[in-house]
Amino acid sequence: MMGYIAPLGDAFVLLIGAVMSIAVIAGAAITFYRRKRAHLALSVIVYAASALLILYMMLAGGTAQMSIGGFMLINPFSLFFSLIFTVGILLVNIIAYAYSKDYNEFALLASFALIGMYMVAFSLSLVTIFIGLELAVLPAVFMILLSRKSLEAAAKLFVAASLSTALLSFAIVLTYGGSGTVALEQYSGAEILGFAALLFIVSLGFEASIFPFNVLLPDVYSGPPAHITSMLGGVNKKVGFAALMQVLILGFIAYRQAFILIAVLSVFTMFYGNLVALMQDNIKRMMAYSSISQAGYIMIGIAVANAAGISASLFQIFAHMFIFIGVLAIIAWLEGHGKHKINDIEGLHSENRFLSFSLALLLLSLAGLPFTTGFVGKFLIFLSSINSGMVWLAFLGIINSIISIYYYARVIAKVYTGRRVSRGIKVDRGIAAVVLTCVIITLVFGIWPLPLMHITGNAAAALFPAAGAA
Amino acid sequence: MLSSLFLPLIIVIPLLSLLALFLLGEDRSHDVVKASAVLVFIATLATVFQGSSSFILPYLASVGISLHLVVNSFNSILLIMAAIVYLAASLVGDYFIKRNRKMYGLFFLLAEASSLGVFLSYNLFMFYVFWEISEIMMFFFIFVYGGTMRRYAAFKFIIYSLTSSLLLLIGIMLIYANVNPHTFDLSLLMQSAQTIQPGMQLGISVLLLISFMIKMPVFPFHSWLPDAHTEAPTTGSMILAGVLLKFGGYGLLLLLSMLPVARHYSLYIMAFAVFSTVYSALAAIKQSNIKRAIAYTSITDMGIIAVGLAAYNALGSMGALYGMLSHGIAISLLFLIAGTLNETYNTFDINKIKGVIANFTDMTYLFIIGALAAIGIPLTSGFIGDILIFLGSYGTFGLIGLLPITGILLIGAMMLWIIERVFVSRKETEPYAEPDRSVLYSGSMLLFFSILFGIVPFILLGFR
Amino acid sequence: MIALLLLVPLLAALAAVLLGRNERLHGRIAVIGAIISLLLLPFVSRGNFNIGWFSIGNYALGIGILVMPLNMLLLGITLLIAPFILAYSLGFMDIRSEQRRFYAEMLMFEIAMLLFAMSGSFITLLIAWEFLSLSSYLLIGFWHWKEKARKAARKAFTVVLIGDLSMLAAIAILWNAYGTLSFAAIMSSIGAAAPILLYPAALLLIVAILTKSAQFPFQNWLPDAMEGPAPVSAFLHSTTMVKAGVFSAMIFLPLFLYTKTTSILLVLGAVSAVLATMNAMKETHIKKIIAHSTIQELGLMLVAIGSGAILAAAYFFIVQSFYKALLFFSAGSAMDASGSEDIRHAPGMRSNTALYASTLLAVISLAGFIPFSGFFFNSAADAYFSSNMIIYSALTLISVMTSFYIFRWFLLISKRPEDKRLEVGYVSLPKSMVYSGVGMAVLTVASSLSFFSLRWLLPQSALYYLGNLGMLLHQGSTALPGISKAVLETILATAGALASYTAYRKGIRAGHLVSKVFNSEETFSSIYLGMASMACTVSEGAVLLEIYINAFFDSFGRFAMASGAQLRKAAVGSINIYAVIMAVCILAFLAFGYAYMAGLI
Repeated sequence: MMGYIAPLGDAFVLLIGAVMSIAVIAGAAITFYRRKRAHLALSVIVYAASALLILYMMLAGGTAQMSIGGFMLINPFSLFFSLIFTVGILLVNIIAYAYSKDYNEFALLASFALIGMYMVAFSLSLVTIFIGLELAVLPAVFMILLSRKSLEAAAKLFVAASLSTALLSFAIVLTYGGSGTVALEQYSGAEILGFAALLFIVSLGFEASIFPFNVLLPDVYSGPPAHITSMLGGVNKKVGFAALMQVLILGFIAYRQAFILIAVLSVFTMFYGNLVALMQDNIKRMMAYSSISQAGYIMIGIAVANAAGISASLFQIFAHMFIFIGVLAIIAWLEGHGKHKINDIEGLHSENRFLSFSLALLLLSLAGLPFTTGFVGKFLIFLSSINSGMVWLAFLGIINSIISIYYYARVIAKVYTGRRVSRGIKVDRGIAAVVLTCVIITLVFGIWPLPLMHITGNAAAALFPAAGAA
Repeated sequence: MLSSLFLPLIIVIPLLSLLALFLLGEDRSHDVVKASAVLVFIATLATVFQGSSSFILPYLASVGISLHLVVNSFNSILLIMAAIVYLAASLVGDYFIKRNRKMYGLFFLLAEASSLGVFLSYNLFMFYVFWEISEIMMFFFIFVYGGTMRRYAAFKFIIYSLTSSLLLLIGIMLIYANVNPHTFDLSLLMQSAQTIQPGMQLGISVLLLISFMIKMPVFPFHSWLPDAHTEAPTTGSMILAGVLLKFGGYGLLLLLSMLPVARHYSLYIMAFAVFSTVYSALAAIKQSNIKRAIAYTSITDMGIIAVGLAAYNALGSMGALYGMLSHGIAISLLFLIAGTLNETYNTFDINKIKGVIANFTDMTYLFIIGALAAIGIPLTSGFIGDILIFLGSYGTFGLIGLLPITGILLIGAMMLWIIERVFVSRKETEPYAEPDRSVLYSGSMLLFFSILFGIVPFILLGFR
Repeated sequence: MIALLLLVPLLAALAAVLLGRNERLHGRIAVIGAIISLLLLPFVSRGNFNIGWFSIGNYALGIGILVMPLNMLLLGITLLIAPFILAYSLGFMDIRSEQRRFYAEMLMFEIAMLLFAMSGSFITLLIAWEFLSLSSYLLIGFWHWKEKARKAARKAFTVVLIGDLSMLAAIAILWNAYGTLSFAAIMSSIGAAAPILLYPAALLLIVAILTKSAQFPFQNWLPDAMEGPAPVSAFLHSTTMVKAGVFSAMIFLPLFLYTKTTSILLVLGAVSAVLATMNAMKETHIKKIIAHSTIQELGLMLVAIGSGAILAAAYFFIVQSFYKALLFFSAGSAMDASGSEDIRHAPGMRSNTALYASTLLAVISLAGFIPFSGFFFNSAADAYFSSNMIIYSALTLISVMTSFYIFRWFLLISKRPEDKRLEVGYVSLPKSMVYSGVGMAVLTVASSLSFFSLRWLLPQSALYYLGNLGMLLHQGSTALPGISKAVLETILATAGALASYTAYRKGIRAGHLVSKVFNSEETFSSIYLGMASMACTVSEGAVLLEIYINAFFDSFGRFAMASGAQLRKAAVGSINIYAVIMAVCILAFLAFGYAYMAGLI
């Protein structure tokens, strides 16, 4: 196995640390002076730099992995997630800059959250995951509070998060009791550990919006302004999946029943998300439910519990993040013009062709239009589940795809019917850039998914050390 | 060598035309579409008449996916049909589509590239992908340019179609998972799929069959088609009936040649197809909407084609392919005339249009000959298709295989009744507008090909 | 050369369509084309040609062309009659528009019949067969602005389509039984397939023949088809269309013999003949009487074929063509001159001597007097049927009645009219109409004499077709009729004619008498309508069923929507409710999951 040159690894951690501290410290200073523009510039530069750094590590490191100080692990999996989080936060920052009244606070909180996310991604022990999750969620609660739009959403998020935290700590305690360690390693035996696995599913399920632990989430997503929702659904949710994958695959791979339960939950999640989304008239709420159903598809890959399945899920996570943030950027723009309902966007295409086209394309990608990442991800997920004999799961997943067509098509249909008098409503350049990025990534990796499949394949292989060695 | 360059060109031309479409103005978009359709037609002819050829571009090699395009004696017939129908539809674009022309061009070109891709691709994954894209484009055709009930029809269409295509997806993934080595490539699957366990083969066959039955469509999965056709714009109807329905037939042919178990159950396919044939012909008789009536006859014809495919012998399969060719051409012609009636008389109602011949003799003749071609009168391509299908189906199924003939009789009677009431009757209704010359050109072109392939079938079928 | 035979009329048709604004030109081009192709006939070489058409794998389907004496006969008749009919049309269509369409369709009709006559394989036969249907559809509905004409055309095509499709089905069976569609190959190796396999094919072919030749139970379309112009009727009744059915019965005879289905032809032919004779007696429409008479004659031909008397059938086939064309010329002229369709309102033919004489010739031919054509057939047929008393007596009765109704027809239209204008109408008929009638009269007489040449003409071709099965034929098939039968026949015809004359003089309205006891035409018409309306009713049922099927599939969508709405209702609540829901869910999941993992479930 080709290893990193040790200094490079250390240098990486140092660099990330330095970059993040700049973001936090300078951000705090700028927040004090309330310079929005400077703060955005700083965030963009810092996040872009770290994204490039991570990308470099990824490409240079191949399948290698190394641990730092026994509590952090750099491997393709953690690099993949940290890349996603970084880019996600970067895009969310740009949206927030355009539409947030308290952008400085938002950016600061986002950088705090990102540190937590990194901790989850790089963690080698349950404790770091715990802390990282806390660090990722709590800033979101404050963001919602700061937006002053929806105290209720903040309260609900807080309740869910604290419940999740409680259960998570309980699960960690049980694991420690059963195995005598809090390090993430493969557990076996001890019935108590099986129960711990269940508790992990429940507690991490809050974050990853798994039914039935997600009933609060639609309210949380639809309450605050769109830029916060884009962060919650686009980035925060992925943290839950990162943790879930690490804990279940690395720790509990021996407990096959837990994965069957995941499969069952994924079916419930898909049906719940899709059926409720059918009847929504608020577009943001519809997207909340849609993201729940997408979580269901992602869980299929986890339930398959092999490298192909995880790789497919990672692909879908990547795809969904860009699509979700892209759509939410458009929704943010719509909210900026006071449009919340699906009926409000009738005739959007005569107002702004680019955004209408992007919205249609991104939604079609969610629905599974070939040559977009949404399609490739779903295809890989179903293929992996069929390949490992879970045909029923793929079948139910596909039934859900059919249902989901309806509400995506409904929105697209609205966009392209009717005509408005007003033409060419101005779009913020930032929003346009975000949407364009998302569309380009959705298309490029949809048409030519090989590089991304390579990356996700490496990342997934890192979760299966035994298989990787063989 | 040269021919393998033409192959991808068939798909690439419409995609490159997209560029021209975006660069040129709204007014020129129909011209771009026309030019592209003509070029595709030429490229298709060049490819088909250079004989069998193939082209491979590795795509996702790790999961056995490549852009494998093949022209052989089976799909060349369908390729020509699709190229003709798209050409005919592009010619009348100016007349039927007057708003959102640029968007129309986008849908049209993507639909054209993907439809031809379905017939060309020799990789099940790409087959599926192209299938799905063309369906989504058809959804837009119906939704954006359709009639008053377009919303309902479009959603019904897309839900049915995606059910069909996603069943197809499961089916092909099951095939992939059960063959060794895992692959989607048909050239390998033709051998290796035979070795799949019989039970699994049966499961796959059922999934794929339902998928193709929805698409063709065959009773009882047909109820999307009349609505879709009634509401679709004329060019959309032409493409839908002319090309998209044939995906199901082509898929059925692939399925039967791939999985031996599916062949054992061909009697069931035949039973459904026969019932569908007679049933839809009966349902057609009393329709008052001319487009709807034609849509039902299209179910009848596809049922007959399904019988030919189910027979699974040289004559039946070839007859079915030829039947698809002739049905594609004839039904496009009929929809073209029906659409023109709507443009000129402002209604599709059979009882409200009388005496078309007094005003538009050309259209009357086009419709009459189109109707005759649909029921397979000699010297139209339908005759060749019908006779081959029944030669084949009797060979496999015996006398039951001849039952669909009743369906032909019924749609024949229905067509004659429509002709009597609408076209040659005493003039009672005045048209509101004159039809465009392009309708005549497009219709004559379809007619020309229908008769050409009826008189000289050996150019497609071989000669010995 | 054989191709030229078809090409010349085709070119003429094209020329007629494309050339000229001059209304008179179209017809002349058509006549010239027909004459040229007639002149080409002697140069046609005999033989069996197979022109490859297309092939699939090892299977090759070709256009078979067969030129044998029997084909030459039919070709000759068609080519001979066509110029006369077209010439007649020159006068007839002169007063009506749309010449171009008329001549193109007439030539298409001729081409279809020529192709039929020379067909040597079932493929060719089917092509010609369906083209006959198509052209007759176009021609019967020529005056499409008349509702009756439209309906008659549709009825004709619908009924004939049954036959076309039966033929298609039969072809599928024969192909699978013999692996070829060539007549020569099939008929020479007829024993290669089991009769039980061929039985459906034979029945389907009989259906095809019955529809084409308008025999029971499909006879109804032919009288209605009289809505077409008179030249069309003349063509349709003499050589093209209806004759195709009888001719193919002759060709397929080996198959019918092999499957023992000849008796079906015989019985149905006899039934049709009787029904048609009764109808002809009560009919008053000038052309419909002759139409019924055609059905009767075709029925008799089928009787002859069914009993193996192929020589008699072929002879009758020839002569009937000429005098039938002539009768329709006269009928058309009568209708044209008088402007009426009713025999009671179209008197005065006597004023035009040429027309009158030629009509009389046709009438006595049909009635069966010595030495005219009808006589020869009746006596020829009698020779074979005398062994079967039922058929013999039926035939005897039919000859009397035939003589009766045709003389009724003739006497009524030739009587002296009270209105002198009718006589003027007859006198001022266009010359082309009258003289093509005279020409046809000459041909009628000549054809009667062909009886003597048939002795060498027919057995050859019969043997060619029938191959080894030729022996199965009735031994007497080439025999000449006995003179005593001929005398009897003439006596019977005279009796019929006298009865007709008496009824005419005394003013007995025989038609009324018959129609009081006999109403087959209405019955069949109502059966046809009943079937059509049944199809419509079933169709309405299907349309209704469509709604239910639709609703069934829509209900899935509705179910999804409804459950979505229910779930959505559940999702709108206060935080307390959420907390409860979540607690319950989590506990349920943990309990269930633990039980599952511990292996309790």
